[in-house]
Amino acid sequence: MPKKILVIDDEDSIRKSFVLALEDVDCKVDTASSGEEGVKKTAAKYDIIFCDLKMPGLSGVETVRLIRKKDKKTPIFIVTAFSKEFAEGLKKLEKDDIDFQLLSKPLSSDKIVAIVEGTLEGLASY
Amino acid sequence: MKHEYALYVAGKNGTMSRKIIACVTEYLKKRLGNGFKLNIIDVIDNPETALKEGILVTPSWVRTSPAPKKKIVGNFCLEANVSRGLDILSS
Repeated sequence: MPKKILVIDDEDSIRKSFVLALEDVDCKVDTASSGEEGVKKTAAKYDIIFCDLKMPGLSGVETVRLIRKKDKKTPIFIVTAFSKEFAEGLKKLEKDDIDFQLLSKPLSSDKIVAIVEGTLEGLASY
Repeated sequence: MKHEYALYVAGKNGTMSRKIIACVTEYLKKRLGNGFKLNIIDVIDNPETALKEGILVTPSWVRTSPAPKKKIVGNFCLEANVSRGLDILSS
């Protein structure tokens, strides 16, 4: 059975880059163009969730917080440029013991595939 | 020669990060005794270090010495993965 991946990002090009990168991997990629839509979609079960940090409406931090109220287990990667600019919001998640991982922008197909394979299979080199 | 590793985590005080750090540290002790050094780097506090070292994702486990540098990503809460990870980093 293909694994299910949810990509939450307001940028169409980013959503498409995940879909294209994972075409040849045995998984089904679902997308949401806002945090609000992403939270609704998590009524279904996913194996990995990627969530952009900087979005209009619900931010990535708020989106992850809402998803984690219902789902403590699914690996969630917050997608962002590694920068101190965003530390405050991420520190609040850490302080509240809300589990998340970070994935750095810019994204490449190779990187997306390695992260997905590493997460689904337990380990990958990159 | 001491093996040097770095573990990049997202928030070193979170439950998951603490679990990852404990699993990797315990396994390294089991396999290498005192013959290793493990640096824990919180990417939220040290984004520049992560960028400089080419870290793309957390959690990343890196062999920093001896060269060449090797990086892996995965679920390091499971001993089987930590064991396989160390084999990859040592090869």
